[in-house]
Amino acid sequence: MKKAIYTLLFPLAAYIILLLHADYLHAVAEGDMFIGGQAFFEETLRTPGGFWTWIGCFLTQFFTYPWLGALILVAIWTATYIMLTDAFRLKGWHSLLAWIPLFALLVSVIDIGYWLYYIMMPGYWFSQSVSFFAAVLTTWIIVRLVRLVWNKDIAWIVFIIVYFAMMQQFPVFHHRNYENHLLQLPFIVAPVSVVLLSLIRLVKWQPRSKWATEITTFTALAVFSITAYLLSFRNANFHAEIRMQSALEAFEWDKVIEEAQAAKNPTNLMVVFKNIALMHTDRMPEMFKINNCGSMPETGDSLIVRTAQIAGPLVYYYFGQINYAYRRAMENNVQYRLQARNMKMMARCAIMNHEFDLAAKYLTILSKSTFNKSWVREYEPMLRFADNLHKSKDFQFIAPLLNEDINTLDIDNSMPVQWILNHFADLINTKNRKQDNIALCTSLWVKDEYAFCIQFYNYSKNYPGEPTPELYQQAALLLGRSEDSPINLDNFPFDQLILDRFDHFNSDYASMSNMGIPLKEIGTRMRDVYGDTYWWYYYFGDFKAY
Amino acid sequence: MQHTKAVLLTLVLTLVLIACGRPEVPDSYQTESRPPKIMPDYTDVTIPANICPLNFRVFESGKQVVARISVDDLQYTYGNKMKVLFDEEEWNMLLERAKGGKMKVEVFVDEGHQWKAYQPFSIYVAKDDIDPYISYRLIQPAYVAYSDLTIAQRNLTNYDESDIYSNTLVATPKIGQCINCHSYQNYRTDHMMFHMREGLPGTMIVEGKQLKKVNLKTPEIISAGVYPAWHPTQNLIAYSTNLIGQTFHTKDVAKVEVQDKESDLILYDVSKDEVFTISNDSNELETFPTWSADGNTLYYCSAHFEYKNGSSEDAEIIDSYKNLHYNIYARDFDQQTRAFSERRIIFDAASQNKSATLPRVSPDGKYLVFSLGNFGCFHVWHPEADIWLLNLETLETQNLEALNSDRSDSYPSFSSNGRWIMTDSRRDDSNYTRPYIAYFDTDGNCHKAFELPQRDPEFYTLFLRSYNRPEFMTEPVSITPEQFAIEAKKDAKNVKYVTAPTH
Repeated sequence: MKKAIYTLLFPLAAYIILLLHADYLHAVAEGDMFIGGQAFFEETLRTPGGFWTWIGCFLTQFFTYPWLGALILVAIWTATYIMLTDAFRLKGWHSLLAWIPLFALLVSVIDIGYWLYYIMMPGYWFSQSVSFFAAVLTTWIIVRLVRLVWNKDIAWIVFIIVYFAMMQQFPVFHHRNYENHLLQLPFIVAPVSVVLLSLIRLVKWQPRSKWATEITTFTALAVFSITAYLLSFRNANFHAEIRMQSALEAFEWDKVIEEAQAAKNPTNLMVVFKNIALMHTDRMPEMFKINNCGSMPETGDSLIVRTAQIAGPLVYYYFGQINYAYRRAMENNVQYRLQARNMKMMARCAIMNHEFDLAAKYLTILSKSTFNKSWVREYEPMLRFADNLHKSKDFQFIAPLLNEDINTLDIDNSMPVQWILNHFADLINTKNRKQDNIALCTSLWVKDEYAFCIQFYNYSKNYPGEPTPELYQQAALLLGRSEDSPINLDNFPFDQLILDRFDHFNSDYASMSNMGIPLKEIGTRMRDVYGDTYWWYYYFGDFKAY
Repeated sequence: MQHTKAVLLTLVLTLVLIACGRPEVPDSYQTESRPPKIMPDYTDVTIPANICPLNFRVFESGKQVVARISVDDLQYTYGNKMKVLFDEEEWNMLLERAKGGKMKVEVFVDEGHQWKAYQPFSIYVAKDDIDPYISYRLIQPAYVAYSDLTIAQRNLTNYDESDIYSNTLVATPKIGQCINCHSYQNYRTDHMMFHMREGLPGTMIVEGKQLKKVNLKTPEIISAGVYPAWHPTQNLIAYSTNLIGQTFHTKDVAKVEVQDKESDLILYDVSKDEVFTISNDSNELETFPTWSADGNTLYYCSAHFEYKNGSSEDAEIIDSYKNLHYNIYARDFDQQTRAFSERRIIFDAASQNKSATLPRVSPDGKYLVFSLGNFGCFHVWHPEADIWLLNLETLETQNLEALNSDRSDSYPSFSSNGRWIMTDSRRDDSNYTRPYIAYFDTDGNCHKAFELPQRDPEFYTLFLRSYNRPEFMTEPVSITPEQFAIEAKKDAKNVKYVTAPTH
């Protein structure tokens, strides 16, 4: 009984650690793809280590329910542990060491962070553990059979042979000109520690008492668990981006805005997500009231991440750029690995483009996976009846952004956000209020004074007599009254409160500037009072698309 | 004991009979006055007598299908849920019997409460065989990105497919390798080539059992060879040289526009490793060379485009993308001196505000097929692109409607006997190209095309790669992928630029 408890202690800790990364695990399931049937099986088998990849892909989809995927993973590790202790005849505290390879595999699942978007090995999150398990299982079977006739400890030799016979693909973390070798460490630690298990019996030390044994056990397990947790990628923005992305995909705009409000120092992508949510709730003129200054993501290494790979398709789609969303989803699927998230995006794009045969293809493929059937059932009716499409949330939110009659040839240089901002800031012939707001707000976002003036002129012309949103008045005060301005705002009815606040802003700014305070420091001091204004963003805010 | 054995034997026999049992045509059914919807659409197609079985899926509501195939008194029934999967041996017997005639296909669908019989359709079997092999590049229809690419060969008489070369043999996550433009001399594979770009670049040339990798770029020409055409008898390859760019449509369903900023034509002497320029008019975008069967004429496409300030500017040609119209031209080729004549126009597409690309000449020299679109040169992305036929004797053209669809149809080619025309079509779903083959009879008529058959009729739906540059072959490639990989890792041999011969 006690042995069983000891055996389950580390799996329990590993399970808890995995569940602490539940949002990430769900993203893993969306970032991988399994397709039932022979075609996918044969296709996967053509690649080195294809069989393990295929099993890995099959099991990775269980992370759709993080508790379930984590349970399966931990069960595989537990079975591996049991076989290792038996094959290597580990008893007492020696058996604790059999957790080392599994500790390494646990770390390999939760330490990759932004590599989630760049790793080129489908099914990575399970394939390594499954192939390791298979090597141990084979070793165990051979050792057991050999023991019937020859009572020698040959497990380590058998393991080396089996392991190298089975391993066909060593994970590589390479993107552009950068390669992270540290992330490969678990895959060296795991097999090497198994081989070393044979030597541990040479260490004759034993805990002196029962209590000492228990303390050793608990201490070792605590060290494993805490170290694994500390080695996991826990960057708050990384996890917030994942949650925001899931919320966007589910049209849960409020959740996205709440995440943005809770973030102290959001990434630029989080800012984009926030503005998408504001845009689709007709609150885009509030964009500068919620932090619009973002930072580059902290990847923990020298990996340079790009929006194009993290959320390019999603960002394009929610700005109504269907072709570009489709292209990015396709490119990411090809360049990195097949992903359910991209496949869904390609289906959604095909539906919005009325390419129903293409959409049917993607929906059929998605229906061959285990957990995407309900998603397919939601979208499939849109192919058959236009009414279903027109009632859908996709159509409701995206259709107002489509300018069917305006087609241009362009290149985004792998910078979706920059392209979108420039595209909308320069958009002429807007079709509705949503587009007018986007055009105005993006011109402010990129601080394009001329574009703002043109858009503001159009806006005033399109909505005469309506109250002008506070943001546009703030911007007009700042940008529209300069000598170079192409518009004349002499008779524009600005709100007195905004005029007064602008005067205060100018006088505060001037007094601090006259005192010789550096610009950055002025920005910090003025943020509490004016951080919600466009003026503050214009002078002190920074947004750099990546 | 004997009783037990008898029971077991009976049980086994019963199971075997069940397993081997044929579905039976229902006794009673409701009739439907239209043919069934099937995928691929093999209704009323014309096929060669040496093709593998045309397995298909029935796209009607129901849970079970029974199909009865008959030729005269020979008939078989098939049905596996909603799929019709033929027995290969029986299929060959049906083909043999139907040669020059047709098979009758009757489809019955169990809708649960009743059976429905659809209007029978025919599959016509031509007397002419088809080349036993085709080859193609398998590529995901991405735009810039690529990963694992394969040039594969497929046996048309069965479903066997094997790799000719795969970039996975040499590519790593750090260094990718693009492979493209496989080409053969006169349908044989003892003289063939394909390009490798980026990682381990060069052009792989096969001469008999010998392999060599060459670098076709010299300072005198704008790029290495791109679109190839082996001379039918001589050890020569005509290439276009192209500076290619891509831009992306924001709304147009075509999605991408691939344009040549500049392009010329060169001739490569495989034996001497020499190249010379065939045509490099700075106001012409020459591309897609192809030889006549006798090797005395080189056909190619060219669009007239003049840069305003004389030098090629990306923005200028991108803005003019709808004004790029390619015509088909020909130059006589003197096989003794290797000199080319001045060009003469064969098909003036520009005057019709159209663009003609990818010409191929029939083995009897009577016809030329090409892809016709509204503009541009990359018609695989143009939904309006269709295959047209030009009679080289009368210079009359016709749309090969039986071969075409309302989606992109491009890259046509003739089989070695001239009786089959293959095209790369996006008719299935508008994004993934699939080979379609049509019978082209001796009177110059094209018959309804059929999609390259697969063992699993659902294959194309689940397959996420396009078939690129499908080419007929009379034999399989004998060089192994590993042999190509060994050669690929070697340095490419530089070719020498020489002056073009004149008359």
